[in-house]
Amino acid sequence: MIAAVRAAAQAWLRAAHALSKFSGWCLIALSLPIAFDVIARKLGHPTAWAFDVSLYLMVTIVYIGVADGIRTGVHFRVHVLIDRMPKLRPLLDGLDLLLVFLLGAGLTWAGGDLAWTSYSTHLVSTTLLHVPMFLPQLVLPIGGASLALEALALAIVRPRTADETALA
Amino acid sequence: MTVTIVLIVFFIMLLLGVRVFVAMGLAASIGIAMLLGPQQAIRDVASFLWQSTAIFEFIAIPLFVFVGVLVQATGFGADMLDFCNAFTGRIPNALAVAVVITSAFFASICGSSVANAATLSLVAVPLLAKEGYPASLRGGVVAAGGTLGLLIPPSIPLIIYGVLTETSVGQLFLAGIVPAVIMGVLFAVYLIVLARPQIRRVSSGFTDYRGLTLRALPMLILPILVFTAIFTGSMTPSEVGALAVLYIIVLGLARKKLTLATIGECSRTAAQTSTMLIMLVATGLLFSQFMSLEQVPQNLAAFITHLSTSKLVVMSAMTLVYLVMGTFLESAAMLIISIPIFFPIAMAVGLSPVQFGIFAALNQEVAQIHPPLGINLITVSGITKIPLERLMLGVLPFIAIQLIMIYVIYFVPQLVLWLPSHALHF
Repeated sequence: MIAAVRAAAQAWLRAAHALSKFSGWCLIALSLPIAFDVIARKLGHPTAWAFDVSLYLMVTIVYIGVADGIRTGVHFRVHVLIDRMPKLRPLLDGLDLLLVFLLGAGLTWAGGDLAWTSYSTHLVSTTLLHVPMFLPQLVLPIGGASLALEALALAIVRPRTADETALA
Repeated sequence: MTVTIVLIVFFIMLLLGVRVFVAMGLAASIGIAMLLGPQQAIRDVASFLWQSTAIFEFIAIPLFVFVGVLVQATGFGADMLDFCNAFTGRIPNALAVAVVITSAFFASICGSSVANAATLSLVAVPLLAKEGYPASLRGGVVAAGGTLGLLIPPSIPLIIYGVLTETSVGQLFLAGIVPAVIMGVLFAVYLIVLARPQIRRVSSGFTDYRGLTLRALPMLILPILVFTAIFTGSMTPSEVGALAVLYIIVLGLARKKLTLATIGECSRTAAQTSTMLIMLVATGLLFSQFMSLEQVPQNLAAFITHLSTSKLVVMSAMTLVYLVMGTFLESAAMLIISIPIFFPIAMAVGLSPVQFGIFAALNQEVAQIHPPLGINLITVSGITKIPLERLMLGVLPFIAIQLIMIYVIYFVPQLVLWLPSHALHF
């Protein structure tokens, strides 16, 4: 049973890493519509879609890639207490992961609620494309859920220290 | 009462080592729930987080971070250093001066001060060691040179400041140029006149000046293009960033310095750094939304101006607070936490948003190399293995120059305001 839970946690960490790679590819893609729009504008034919596409790509980069950053330790922490009281580190890491989980769970709930409200009220963007807003807003609950799962997986796989946890 | 509880919870979380964006997000959510009730808080927090992330100006952040990571991976930094090194000739500490000039060039291409310091740590520190520069000076010059990027466009802190305070990012970019050039010159003057030892070389060792220039040219023209696009208003910072990404990728592939795998890895690294920054800003905006609901910045501004209406006293007090904050907070987090509180105070004592933006960026420069948490110090120390204690000694003169610059822009605000007032589209 324990082995299965640990395997599932490792599988999630690998999935979050893959999401982080996807976030990176979205970043490469981000430059394309913007550059295309500059050229099109200079030729007198500005696009109607570049603004929406680039904005939602950027939001995707942020929320899809946020979870893997918990494992790699890219998000800042104040180390004053951790460095001075290394014996407390497992406890402080555990608390940190618990709060990451709470924030992730809250974001899943609140983001899901926002996307659902946008869907049920047929809310669309104010730009020419009239994008149904629930679609890009879905990255909020997805990002929130991935944060919560990441915290849970890290707590299972490596409860002593959350930073720089290697993938199996 | 609610504010006190939220601030106590926030600072306890920070002290206990909870990630800064998590601490800000949770503390703000608790505060909003206490004020508006849990049901309304859920709606408001999600909606506000969405609005704080889906901001078009933010697109420039991942793009310029990506440019920085790509330039680091291509090794173009070495070409730029060779070029600058050849032309500094036989002045005292010529190589160290070349490192400062290269830092300024590099900063005008990429938005990341850390990428700047990391690249020059790899490229310049071994050369500096070879010419006999002591560890403290070679680490100090690289760490401090990296901070020039916080003032030179495309500075990411200036983008963040612009979004937080609704100030034109283009104007901020232009405003940072003159102070950055002056600071670069002051760094160079310190190295030529005051820094010890004074290393004089017989020759730079370069003879093929034409070849060097041709190799560095594609990088050298990029800052000119960035400046022209922003000054004339023909492109937004995000558009300049997108074109710069494609330019570096094409150049890197053409010169066989990049592969698809490297580009993929660079994009992941840049995406992670950008995610970290944007999550900090988004939760920071949520936190400042809560503070505004409670009228904290306005009350604090009224209180401070009641105590003293002297701009100089207020600016000095803020600098002192920044110095203290810099000892336990990373510089980006410091900016995001402080701006919602300090900005109304600065406006109340009569500073212009642009002038205060440069003031905040200068303070962030100090924090970037401020012991013990200065991220450039940690980066340079990690790469070069120069002990942090020696690096701290090496950066002290540069911190002094930065502090002097803070007061220079206070006494001579035209240094900041002149260029934006002459831009073609503002």
